[in-house]
Amino acid sequence: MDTKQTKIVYFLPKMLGKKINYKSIQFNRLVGAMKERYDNKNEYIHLEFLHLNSLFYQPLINNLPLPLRLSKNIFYSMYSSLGICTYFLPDSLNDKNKIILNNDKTVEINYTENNEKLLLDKKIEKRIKKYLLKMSAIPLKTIRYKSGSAIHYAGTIPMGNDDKFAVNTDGQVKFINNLIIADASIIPRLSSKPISINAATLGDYIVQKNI
Amino acid sequence: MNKDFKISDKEYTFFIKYFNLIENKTLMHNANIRIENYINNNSVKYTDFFLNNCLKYYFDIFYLDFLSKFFFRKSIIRLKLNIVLALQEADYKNFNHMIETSNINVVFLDTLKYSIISATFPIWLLYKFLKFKLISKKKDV
Repeated sequence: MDTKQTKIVYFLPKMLGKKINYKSIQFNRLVGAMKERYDNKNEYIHLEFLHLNSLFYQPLINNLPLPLRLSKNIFYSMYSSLGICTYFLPDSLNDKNKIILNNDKTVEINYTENNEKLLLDKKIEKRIKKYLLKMSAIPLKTIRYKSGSAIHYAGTIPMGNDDKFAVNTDGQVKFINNLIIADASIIPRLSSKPISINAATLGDYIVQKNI
Repeated sequence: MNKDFKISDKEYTFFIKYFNLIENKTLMHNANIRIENYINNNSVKYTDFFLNNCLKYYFDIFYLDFLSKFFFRKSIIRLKLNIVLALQEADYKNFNHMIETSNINVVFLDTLKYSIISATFPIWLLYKFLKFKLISKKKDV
């Protein structure tokens, strides 16, 4: 599983010509949340409104159809009014989002989007665009990343108490004694946010269960 | 041959002035290493020699940036411009300087400059080409 990422680039006209104050919010470092339903469960959708900082812009500047100096000046004069909203889509385990170990010892990463996820993506995009317009920001472009291209992999050996799962809910591997797994690979369903905190909590939970 | 394509001190001063950056010789050295690597792994064309020899005065860089954007996209001069900007951008002081000094007025002035350049570049190009031919003929003799 992997949390599919989508980014919406927006332009905030009222910030044009103003200097960035890193201590104020200015639509940067804002975290949003919305409730949606996915795979018959209520899901919290995690949103991040980030200012364009600590990124590398030269490729972007070079791609503008203008001489480099003009592109650079245009980009940096608009810099304070540009921002990105990133949201992560939840993922649940199915046959089309697995890493398969083939017989010839090759690894096949097989991520195919299901229709429900695509519809959810478009629904969230529509809602965010509406909110951005309410906040007087103009959405410019939506960049969709494919599932599997984000860095939130998890669930390669999902836990469960059924026979089809190799690991039980205490993290113990069913067919090897004293082998306990306590990382994100046993997460059976991925929530809509970076998995670091979930993985840390899960590790703590497994340790408490087994010691 | 390789040495010819390296960014000289004079060229670097032009680039710094052109992009309105803060000078940093370490970055210039890094840029030169990357250019050298590129030349060692790629073939150098006649246009690269020609365009590289065109940068004599500060205003030449406006024409070179314009031409390399629209006509000679894979030239070494384009690589030089990109490398200098990319490396300076990665430098914290330079990055802050870029944000602080860019404003809409500069963009308007630049647009005016490039509209003049777009009208006069054929004359400049012809002049530079004839000069380049003359110099190379003199060297041959």
